[in-house]
Amino acid sequence: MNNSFSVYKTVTAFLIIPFIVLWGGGGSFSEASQPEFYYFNPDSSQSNLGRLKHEMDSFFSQAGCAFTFQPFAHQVDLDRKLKEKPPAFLFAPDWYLQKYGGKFKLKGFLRPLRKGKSSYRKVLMVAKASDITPDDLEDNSLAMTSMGPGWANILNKIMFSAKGVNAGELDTVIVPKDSDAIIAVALGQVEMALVVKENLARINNPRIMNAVRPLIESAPIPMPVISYSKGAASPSDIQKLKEVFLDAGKKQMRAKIMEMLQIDEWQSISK
Amino acid sequence: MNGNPYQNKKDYRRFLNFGFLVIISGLLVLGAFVFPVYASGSVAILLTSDEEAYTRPAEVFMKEINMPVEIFNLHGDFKKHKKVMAEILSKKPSLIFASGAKAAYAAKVGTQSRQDIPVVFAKVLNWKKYKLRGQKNMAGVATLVAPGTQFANMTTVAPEVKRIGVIYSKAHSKEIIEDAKKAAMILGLELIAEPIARSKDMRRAYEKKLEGRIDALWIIADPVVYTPKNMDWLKRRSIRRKLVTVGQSENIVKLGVLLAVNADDSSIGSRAVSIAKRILVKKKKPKKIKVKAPIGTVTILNLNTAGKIGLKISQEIIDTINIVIKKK
Repeated sequence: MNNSFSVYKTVTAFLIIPFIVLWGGGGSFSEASQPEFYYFNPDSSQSNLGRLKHEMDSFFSQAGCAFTFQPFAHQVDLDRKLKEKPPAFLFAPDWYLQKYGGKFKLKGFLRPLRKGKSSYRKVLMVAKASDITPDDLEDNSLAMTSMGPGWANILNKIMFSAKGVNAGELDTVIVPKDSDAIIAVALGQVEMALVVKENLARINNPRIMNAVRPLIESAPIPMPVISYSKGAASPSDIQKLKEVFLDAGKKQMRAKIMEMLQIDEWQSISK
Repeated sequence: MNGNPYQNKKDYRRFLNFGFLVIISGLLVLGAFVFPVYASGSVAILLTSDEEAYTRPAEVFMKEINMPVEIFNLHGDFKKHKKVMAEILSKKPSLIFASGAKAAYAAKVGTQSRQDIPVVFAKVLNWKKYKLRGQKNMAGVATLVAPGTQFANMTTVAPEVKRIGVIYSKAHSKEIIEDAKKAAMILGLELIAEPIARSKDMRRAYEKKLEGRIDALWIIADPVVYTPKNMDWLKRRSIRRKLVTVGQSENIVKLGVLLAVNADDSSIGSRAVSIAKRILVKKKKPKKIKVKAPIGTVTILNLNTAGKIGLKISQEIIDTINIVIKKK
């Protein structure tokens, strides 16, 4: 009888313990099983990330994608999360993918288009009364959104080398929004601001815009990219995301988020 | 007898090692005279505590400065300042970045006899109270955004605003009002600034000098003016008069002010790096740099208040705001 009782206890333990573990860790287990979609887009004028998350969660739910959408306002927070565990998907600037793609095994597969183009431009702005000229950019302060640790090389490539200036020697301040940079120039807090050309039209404030003027336009900059992380994204999830963003039949479904992201359509990135 | 003085390989190696040591020692002694003792090339970051308000600017500072960095922490206890500063000074830093009031004051006191070491401070709400600018090696980033930054954001949300009213005390806010007047001029706005000496004079000042003459009310962190009683009265009056209100804290937006414009902590770190590089690379003097206003912002909007004052804001503008408060 003792033997059968101890067998009974052992069997019961084997049945109950996994149940307790699964029940206790159930919440985290179900969260961990949902692929994560991270978003970092400092060049977008969409700063209300709370609303963006709400709309993207609704969109994914409507599209039958069980993804967790997480936007980031600052690169330092995104870097920290990526180090902990790369997400299944990441929407981030092209420079981010170039810089960290290898390290986090990220592969770009979808690129947005705006007015049919897969690139955009930035404009160097100065105060209206400023005497800075395109040939006299050195020794000036510059406010701009993040372009990562390689920002000087990028700026040289798209604008400053052509003017014989090393961007790395400029006095730069990184800001979270283009509007911060433009306001700083208008108020004389910095001498130059580098902002997205399309965002100028959205800074709908004549009091600011009347105090500044454009100086130089940059070379084209590739649009941000959606990439997947090898190992974190399943082939079926990648295919699902492609369908959701590329399928013409789902255009109406994605209209709202496309407008929020200031994107017209998506294209597949070929190898 | 063999002409070679080194009879075997072991002796020869010993001779080479000895010679090498002599040369290196000589170079080190020479270097100590040629190079300044305090220019170690590394930067010391001194934190007031582990609170994110202090660590966030430091984190960004560390990433952007492109120099070796050592981190020190008072852990909220100013009594540790002598010991911590002694440790910092023993490392011979080329610059100290102090995040928070305790760290900034510790750095000021600790470098009183070492003003060859520049200090850049940030996240000190009342830096004037600590007389941080009184020492020639100190420069900093202010905690509150400039008046012009608030006006610019206010007029983006409410383009019809032309006249901004503010009540202030000369004892606490004289300088900020001067900055505000300059900014208002740049933006083509009229600033009507009414000084008071006592908290209880606020209502009379508003009714006699501002009522009917303004479109917006600017609420500044002035302890004489903005007591809880005065704030409550102003909130009710501004809704009744359909005034746009702008302040500098998320809390007052939650209490009913329309808009707040706070400094972004990451951008404060970046601004501090800009100042540090000006000192270390461009050799500018800290006392000439002074205290710079932060540029990056976090904006907070109360949509319920917008509705109460009849202010219609487009979704496009709302989407440019970082935090939107509304009743569900």
